[in-house]
Formats: sequence, C-alpha cells, structure tokens
Amino acid sequence: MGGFLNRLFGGDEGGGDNTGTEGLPTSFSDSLDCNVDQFKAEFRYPENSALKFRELLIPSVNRRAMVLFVDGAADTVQINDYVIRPLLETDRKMEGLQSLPVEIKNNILTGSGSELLEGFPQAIKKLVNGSTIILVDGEEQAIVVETEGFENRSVAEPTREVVIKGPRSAFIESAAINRSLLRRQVKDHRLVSETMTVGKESPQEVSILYMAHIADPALVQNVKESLSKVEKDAILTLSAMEELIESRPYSLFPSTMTTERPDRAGSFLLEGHVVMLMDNSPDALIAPITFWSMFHTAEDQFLRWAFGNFARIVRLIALFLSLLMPALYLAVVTFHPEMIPTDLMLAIAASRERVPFPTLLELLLMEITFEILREAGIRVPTPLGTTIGIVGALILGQAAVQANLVSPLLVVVIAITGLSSFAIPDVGLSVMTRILRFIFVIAAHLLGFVGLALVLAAMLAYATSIKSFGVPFFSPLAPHFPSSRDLFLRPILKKQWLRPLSMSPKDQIRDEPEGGDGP
Amino acid sequence: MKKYGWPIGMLVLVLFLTGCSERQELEKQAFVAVIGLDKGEKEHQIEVTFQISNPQVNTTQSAEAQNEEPSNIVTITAVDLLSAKELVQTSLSREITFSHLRTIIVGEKLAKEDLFRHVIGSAIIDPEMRREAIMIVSKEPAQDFIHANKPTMETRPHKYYEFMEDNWKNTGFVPISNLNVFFQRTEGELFLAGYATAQKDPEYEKNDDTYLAGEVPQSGGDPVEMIGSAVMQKGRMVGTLNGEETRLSLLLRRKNLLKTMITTFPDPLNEDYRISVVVGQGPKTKVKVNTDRSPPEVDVVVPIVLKINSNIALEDYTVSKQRQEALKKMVKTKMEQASGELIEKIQEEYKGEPFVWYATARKNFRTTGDFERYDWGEQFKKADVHVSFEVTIESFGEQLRPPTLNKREKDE
Amino acid sequence: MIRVSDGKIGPREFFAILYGMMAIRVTDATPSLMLEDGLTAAWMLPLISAIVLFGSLMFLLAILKKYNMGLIDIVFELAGNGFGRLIILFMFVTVFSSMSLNGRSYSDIVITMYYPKSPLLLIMVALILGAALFIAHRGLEAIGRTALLVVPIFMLTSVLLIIGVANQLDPLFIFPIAGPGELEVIKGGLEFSAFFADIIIVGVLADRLRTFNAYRTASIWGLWVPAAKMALFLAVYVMMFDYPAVRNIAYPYHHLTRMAMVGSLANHMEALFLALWFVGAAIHFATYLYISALLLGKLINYQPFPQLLFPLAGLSVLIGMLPENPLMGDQLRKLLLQSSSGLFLLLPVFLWGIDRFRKGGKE
Repeated sequence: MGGFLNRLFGGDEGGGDNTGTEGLPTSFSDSLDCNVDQFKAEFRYPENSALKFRELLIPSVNRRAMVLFVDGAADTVQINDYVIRPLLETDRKMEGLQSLPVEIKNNILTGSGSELLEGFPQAIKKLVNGSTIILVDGEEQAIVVETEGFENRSVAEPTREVVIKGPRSAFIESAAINRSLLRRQVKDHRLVSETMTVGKESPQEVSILYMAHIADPALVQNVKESLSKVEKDAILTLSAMEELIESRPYSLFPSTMTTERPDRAGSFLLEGHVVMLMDNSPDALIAPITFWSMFHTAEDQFLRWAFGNFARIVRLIALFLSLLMPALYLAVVTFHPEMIPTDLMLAIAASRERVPFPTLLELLLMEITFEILREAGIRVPTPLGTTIGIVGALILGQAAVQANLVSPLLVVVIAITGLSSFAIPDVGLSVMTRILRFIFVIAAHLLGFVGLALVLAAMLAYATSIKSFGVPFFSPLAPHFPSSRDLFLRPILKKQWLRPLSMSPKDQIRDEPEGGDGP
Repeated sequence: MKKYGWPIGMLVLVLFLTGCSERQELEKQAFVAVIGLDKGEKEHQIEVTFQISNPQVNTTQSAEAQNEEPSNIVTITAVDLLSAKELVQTSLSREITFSHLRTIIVGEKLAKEDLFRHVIGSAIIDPEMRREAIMIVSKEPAQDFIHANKPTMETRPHKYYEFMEDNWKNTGFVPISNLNVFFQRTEGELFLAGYATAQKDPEYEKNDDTYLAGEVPQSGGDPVEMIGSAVMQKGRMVGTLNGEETRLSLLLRRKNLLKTMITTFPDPLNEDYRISVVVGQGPKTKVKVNTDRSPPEVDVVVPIVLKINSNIALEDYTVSKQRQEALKKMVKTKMEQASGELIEKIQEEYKGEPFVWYATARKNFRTTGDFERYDWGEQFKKADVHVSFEVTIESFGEQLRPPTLNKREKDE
Repeated sequence: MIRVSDGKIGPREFFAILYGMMAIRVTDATPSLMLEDGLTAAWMLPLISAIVLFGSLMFLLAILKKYNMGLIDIVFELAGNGFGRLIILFMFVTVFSSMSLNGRSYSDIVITMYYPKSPLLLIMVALILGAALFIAHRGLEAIGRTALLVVPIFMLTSVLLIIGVANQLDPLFIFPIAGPGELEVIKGGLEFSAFFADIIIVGVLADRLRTFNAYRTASIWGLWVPAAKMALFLAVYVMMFDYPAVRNIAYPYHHLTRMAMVGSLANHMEALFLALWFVGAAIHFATYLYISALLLGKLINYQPFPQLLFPLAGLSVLIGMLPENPLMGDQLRKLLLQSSSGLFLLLPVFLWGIDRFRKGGKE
C-alpha cells in the first residue's frame, strides 16, 4: 500500500523526482565535469547542500581531480589526512603498466580501505554510507575511500538485560562497532560475517553472522532466503526487520528475539544460531529461538550453579504467576470456593460484600489500570517518573479499596501478577504473557478450572507445534533431542559439552568431556 | 488461521449462549460450617440445623459488622438433607453451600434410630458432601448442642471444630472419625464417633479419663465438652465408650492413632497417690489373628513409652532399677486389665470390634467369599484375645530427682 | 543428521502419547468396573491384561519390523483390500465409539463431581469440539510434544496424590488377596484387556516414528507403565475406601483427590487435580480423534484426513449425548470393551499367521 501511494504521488509531481538510482547511466564518462554534474543532479545540488566537493590538481601528473563526500556521513579529518594530503604531496612518477586510478589507489592513498568503481549507483550508495569518491579527469573509474564518520555514542551499559555480575558492554547503533564487539567475544576465524542488502529505496546493509563450522547450512540458507524475500522500501531498524522475516506475524509467540548483550549473542553463535546486525539498531537479532532462549538470562551462567538455578526457578514461578494468577484467582473465587482456607474465604466474602462489581469486572478494572500504569511509566518523561509511582501506589493500593471499588485481596493478586511479569527477562515473552493472561481470565470466567485446563492444553499444543526457522519452540525438551539439558535448570558448565541437537549443529560437541559422562 | 476460524467461532458462540450457571460470587453464598441432624416429630422426618458462618464477623478489619452474630443457625424439618438444603432457602437470602462443611453433629436420639442409616447414606450421594467431614454424636438434640456451643475464644464456629480436632490427635479422648471411615465399616465392624454434650453433670469420683461427655469435673470455661465415643454399628448407634475406653481402643489398633496421651496410675511406691505419666507411641503394635482354630485367637502386643513428667507422691524413681520395674509392672497390669475389661465388654455387648482387627483377619482368607462366610463379627464374640503391653520408660522429666520437700518434712 | 521437523516423532513423545491414552483411565469410570469384578484383587486385573496384551504386542512388533510400515498398510497388504477394509472399519468403529462414550463419561464426571449445575453439552463441546479438536488439528507432532511436556507433571502429581493420602491408607485392606477367586480374577483380566488395547491400535502410527527401535521401546514402556499405574491406583482405592464400600463409589479418583492433604495447610486441592486431569483429558481425546480421522481417511481413501477431524468431533459429541445417563453409557462402554477385547488380542496373531502362511506358500 505504501509503495503504491509513493508511486501515485511521485507521478503527480511530474516524474521529475526520480526516486532511487534507476535513471542513472551505469558507467562513468571520461569527462570529470560530466561526471560531477551527474552527481550534482543526483544530489539535487544547489538546494541540497549535502554533497561537498574539493577540487584539486594532482601535481605529479598534472591532472584535475575531484574529491566528493557527503556532509555528516564522512569524516573530514580522515579525508584531509588520508585522501587530500597524499594526493597533493605526492611526487611519484605515474608511469608504468598500471592505470592511473589503480596507481593512486594502491600507492598514493594512505587510507586502509579503498577500491575502484565503475558505475554511478554503487558510487552513490558508497557516498551516502560515508565513503569518499575521487574522480580523476580523463578516467572512467572512480576511487572509493572508506572515510565513514557517522556520529556514534560510545559503547554503553545494557539497559534491558542488566546483570549484577558479568560483562557490561552493550551493542550500539553502529553495525561496525557491534561486529567488533561480537568478534571480541568470539575470537574464531570461522565466524562468518555475510552482508545482505534490504530495502529497495533506501537500502540498508544487514550483517549475517554465524559460525561456519557449527551452524546448520540449511538454517543459514533459510535465514538468508527470508531476508531476501523482504520487500519494503526502507527498513530502518532491526525491530522492524524482526517482524518482516517472521513466519507468523500475527502470532503471540515470537519466533525471533533481540539481545543487546554481545556476550549473549556470542553464546548463541556458539550454539549454532544465526545473529543479524544492522546499522542504527542497538541490538542483535537472533534466529532461530526457542522458549529457552527467552527464558534464560545471561546471568544464569555467570552466577554460581546453585544461585543461577535458583534464579531460574524463581523466574519460572514468576512466569506461571504472570500468566495464570488472575485467572486462578477468578476460578477459585467464583467456581471453587472450597479451595480457599475457610478463614481467608470468609475474609474475601466479607470484603466483597460491599464491592458492587462481579469479580471478573473488578479484576479487569484493576488489570487494565495496571497496564495503563505500566504504559504510562514507559512514556512519561524521566523527571515526572516519580509521580507515576505515587499515583499508582495510591490508586492501586489504598483509594480503590477504600472506595469499595475492589476488594483488598484483589490488589494483592494484581500486584503479584505485575511484579511477576517484570521478572520475565525477554520483552517478547513478557508481552506474550500479558496478552495471554486475558485469554486465561476469560476461560476461567467461562468454565473455571476446566476452562483454564482446556485453554492451557490448547496453548501448549500451539506452542509446541510452532517452529522458528524450522526449530520447534520447546525443543530440545519437546520434541526431545540430546542436549546439555540447559533447560529449566542448568547443569554445571563442565557438563554442558553437547550442543542442542535440535539446532542440527554441524559440530555437536563443544568439548570432549574428560570422563565418560554421557549427555 | 482461516481453517480454525469457524470451529472456534462456533465454540465461543455456544459457550456464550449457554453460559455456565456454576459461577457464583463468594458473597452470594452461605457457607455452612456445621450441620446438625435430629429426629423429627413425625415418622421419617428429620430436623436439620445449619450453622452458617457470617463472613462479616471477626474476619477482616475492613468489613467488620459490629452488631451481627458470628453465625446464623437455622433448623428445618424435612425428609432428608437435600430437601432441607432447598427449604432453608425460603428464609436465607444467600445460596447455601456445603463446600466448607467440616463437621456433622448427630443427636443421640436420631443416631440410635434405623432412620439415621438412610439419612446419612443418602446425604453422601450429594457431591457437595465431603467424605472427610467429621461426625460427632451429641447427647442432647444436635440443634440444642449447636445453639449452646458458643466458645469464648473461637467466635467463628469452623475454627472451634478445627482446633478441637487437632486436640483429639494428642489426647485421644475422642476418636477422629470422618465419614469415609464411617462408610468403610458398614458391614458390622464398629465405628467410633466422637461423643459430645453441652449438658454438664460433673462426677468427681472417677479416675482421670474414665469420663463420658458431660461428666468431666469442670466449672467455667466453654459450655461444650467432648470426651468418649459413640459406638456405631451398621450405621446405627449402639452404645458409648468413655474416655479411657476410647483411648484404649485407639491404642490397641495395628495403626496406633494415638500420638501421646497423659494418664494416671496408682503410684506403686505410695498407694495414697496416683502418678501421671505421658504415654507415647512405641514401635508398631503387633496384631496376630489366628482364624484356623475355633474360637479364633487374637494376639496383640502394644509397645508403649512412658515419660514421667509429674510425680505427685514425690517418690524418687531415678535411683533404683527396682522402683522403675515396679512402675513398669504397675502400668502393664493396669493397662492389660483395662483392655481386658474393654474387650470383654465389647465381646459381650456388640457383634464386632472397633480395633480394625478384621483387616488383619482378612489376611488369612483367600477370597472375599471365604471371609464373608466366616462371619468375623460372630466369631470375634467368642475369640480368645490376649493383650500384652511392653512398657519402657523413656525419661523422668527435667529434674534428676523430685524436689526434696518431703524429706525435709521428715527431718523436722 | 537428524532433521528436527520431519513430521515424525521420537520414542519419548510416543511414550507420552501412550501414557496419555491409557494411564488417564485410572481417573474415569474404569476403576469402578474393575473393582466390581476384581473386588480386593482388582489391582491384579490390569497386570493380567497387560501380560496378555504383551504377548499380542510381541506378534505385532514382529510384523511391524518385517514390513516396516503402519498397521493399516500391513492390514491391507496381508488381508487384501476387501477384508482389510472390514478390519479397518471395525477398528474405526471401536476407536470412534469408545471416544464418544468416553467423552460422555468424562463430561459426566465433571457434572457429577464439580459442576452440578452446568449443562452437559457445554462441557462436551468445550472438551471435544474445543480443546481436543484444536490439538488434533495441530497434528501428531503437537499431540506428542504436548503430551511429553505434561506427562512428567502427571506422574509427579500422581505420586504427590498418593503421598497426600498415605496416612489414611491401610495396606491390609487389600486382603483377601485373591478377591473373588483366582479364576474370576484371570477371567476379569482377559475381559478388561481392551482397556490397554490402545497399544495395538497405535500400530497405525508406527510409520510416524523415526525408527522401529523407538517404536518397540516406547510401546513396551507405554504398556507397562500405565498398567502399573492402574494397578497401583486400584490398590490405593481399596486401601482408602475399603472393600466393600469401594464398590459404591462412582469415581474413586476424584474422591481420592478430595481426601488428599498436602500437609495440614492445603487440604482442598481437588480443583488443581481437576485442572491437571482435564489437560490430560484434552490430550487423550485429541489422540483418539486423530487416530479416528486417520483410520477413516484410509478407509474411504481420503488423503487430507485432518479435514475429517471437525465432522468426527461433532459426530462424537452427538453420539455422546445419546445415552440417557452415565450408567447407560458405562454399560455400553463395558459391552464395547468386551466385544473388542477379542479383536485386538487376536488381530496381531491373525496377521502374523497370514504372513507365515504366505511365506510358506511362496517357498
């Protein structure tokens, strides 16, 4: 639809606004002025001040040359030092078998990355990505020097996946720096970094990283295919990409996830997953994922065995509470009062006597208030943050009860639910539980525990049958595959010597165990 | 998604159309804590008393109603429990439910009738009736008992019975007798239900545990007493056992239900005084039943462990082995004598036994038919029963010897 | 290399399916039928049934190993098109009617024990047309994996349940040891062997397992574990309620959950057991529905058999509504079991015989 509208409006403006690089001559001419004019036209020169020129005369051959770069994208200091100065100061005799551009590229320029180009489309792509183009009069080739100079923030601490113990660097918005962070984690020559371009109108590069000796080639192929199938004019971030490569965009269950921790991405790489990086996205996209990828945190492995597992048990309880607590409360109170200890039951009954709403309405009211509070908490500007806390505590805790809008126990139920949902480490999983919770509430309202059980069974059947890039959601538990059993609990690191076979890794064994300790 | 669309849509439609009438808000239900059953004035009629907890008393601060009673007691005359449950709705605004019912009180008069078997047998068909409900027989009509039972500490009725039951586990004055056990023993075995009363008629001459409910020398306190048991056979009350007999019948079982109890014996060293001992469970009671000979022979060995935590004669037992032996012997003979008397009484009065020895006897038979033909109840009447107690003394309390008060007395 | 999503299931999933199909019977009206016949020796019945079926299973395994395809194809191969179709028809009728009657029975349990005011149709629709249909629609893989996720929980809760009632049990109640007499017990065991006949029926799924060895291991475990569980629970029922009172109790499992106590804190936990039981029931009926559709699909040569699931589920709800009350349904169920026992016991032997005979003819 968007593409159609674009074309429609593009047509209205008389076709002069030529989007993309389609109408360009593919190759350079040998006239410098002609080439420069072409660039000027492409960049809408006088109105658009983005394109910068620096004309110079290469003294040794006495030829005119033009250095072009895009303001903001290229680093001018680098251009001065590695491009203009060597060109002006050279006294090398340009003669011999090699052509002039090759000579300049190889022997004059001091920058580390440079290549030759013969066509406009590539040259423009390089320019907007921050490279510098050198055109020499009389030559049909352009020299590209990498002088990328986008503004970057420095590597910061993770904000979503905080750990107490463990590395504290997080991905930032630069793909190059992210790749370097990842290389630093996995120092292996078999870490392959392929590049693909997505987006037709304003192309972005996506790096696909995987371990050549571990990752299943079929999986890598699968990921690449779904990337190449993406048809969209522009994809700005990985988060948008996430939805585009997913096979079930409507589903509540995510099939990819993002992490902002290089160490986490590294450990995924070593299990045979594929990691995708993209400029402007301060996280890495992991595919395929399983339930366990979302349930585990980086810290589980950093903390001592006992505490790591304790944290996991707590998180598992939190997951169940977050999913089922309101529904359980509703089912118990309206269908199975015999389950509540008599004293508590009488207390609830007494406090409910003055509440005018049925339990379902009371529950939904509180639940929705809590969700609003959570949403407001994210959107509110930081200086106002404390206000939300005070208002929330007042509304949820005291006033609602005193006004007989809700019964006190319900506040406790909602508070526990809310707290539990914050203990779920992954955003995708947390969002999923928040929405599924309402489905369970409806089920409990209709049929009590029977309804809960049936929805739970159906949900489990759905969850176990979905696949993320061919890997079942609950593997290697169901379906069962040999693995190191790093599932609900983790074994000690020494025993984690087998990669989960559900990923079909090429190399299944991380490290030969010393004893004959089977998987 | 389209594939599942219409089945799911239909399902949701059906669910919403029919709805589920099971759902009921807590405040719209009346939770019965205690049921009382009595004989009605007319033939085949019973009076059912419901004690319904009032949630607004003593439960939560925020919803306290100051001037309300803790429970609402209604009596309905009907042919059975289910119709009474329906009839009570004529005066009760909330829907009555048994989901928190734990205690059933039966008036002695009804319990002795044949009608009771029918009433309780039909009541259990109602799925709301729970088999773990405790059954108590009251000396007076159950409705009088329920009206009289206003304990000071536990204003909410369910709490009172809950704590009382916990007590019974320790004292053994009253057997813990739920409906499940009642329905287990319908073939002539004896079932012991708790015996209680609110009519006090204290007797001061007895030993410490040979009382029946109402006879305990007590003044003040809560109006209700529970001690002893009602003996039920084939769903009918046929007699009573006093506190001591109840304790013994719990003690003589293969699965001893009595954790510890405190009882007194004549002091072997000083006939004027009695000595209080804590009798605890030893290793498992051994029961052997020989059905090959006629009359059958029952051999019971009960190991018990004594703790001497009080010693009113202030005699010193710690110093001499002989004194301890004398005490052991005294306990042994007294216990054996008492159980001999109990067994004799049961053999004479009833056809059956409350000690679950029939389960041991069943071991000797190959098929259920054989056992039924044997007629254990009849055979037990003439069985030779040997009960022996194995007594060990575990401790003598926190003092090495009794305080030397009496010696000083002698010195002076 | 093992492909993860090849549409086949592994031994653990298969075992879980078998467990879901058979072990859940301790919770329905089956124990009452067995206790009626076996009295105090009822716990021996499932073991005897299992021994008998084990022999039959060995024949089945021999054939499956030889032909390396599903039971349906083997039946067609060995018994010919016409006769084979008759056998498949009979299998379908048995499986389908047993599903319908069971569905009714399970809904009756809910209505009787927990939701006395709810309409029967609602529970049946929610169970069979709702959850079971959805699970079956997700395919055999989904059934197996879901079962694998929940079966360990069922095993754990069974143990917890027994611990919860342990102090109310009296082991001596299972005497007299032989119940109604040895002959009666053995006869009962044979009669009830159809309760575990699922082990023969699931032969139709044999080609959906990765290897034959997986099938063999899983089916042997899948026969003995549910049989042992049934035996254990029958013994527990007798120890809890005592003979003869146990004969009067309609759904002993649900009474047991009512009596269970987790310490003195939580003693009315039956609703939790109800929820777990119903998760199991959904998987149970999903499996039956799937197998019925598979059989019907083969019978009428209709390849996209998952499309039959919906009409079959609807039909089974309608059939389930037919009996007037649970007792009538139970009688029908018993009749069905007794008549199908012979078929499932003899089918593998019969197939094996034909196979032998043919081999002899060829040589």
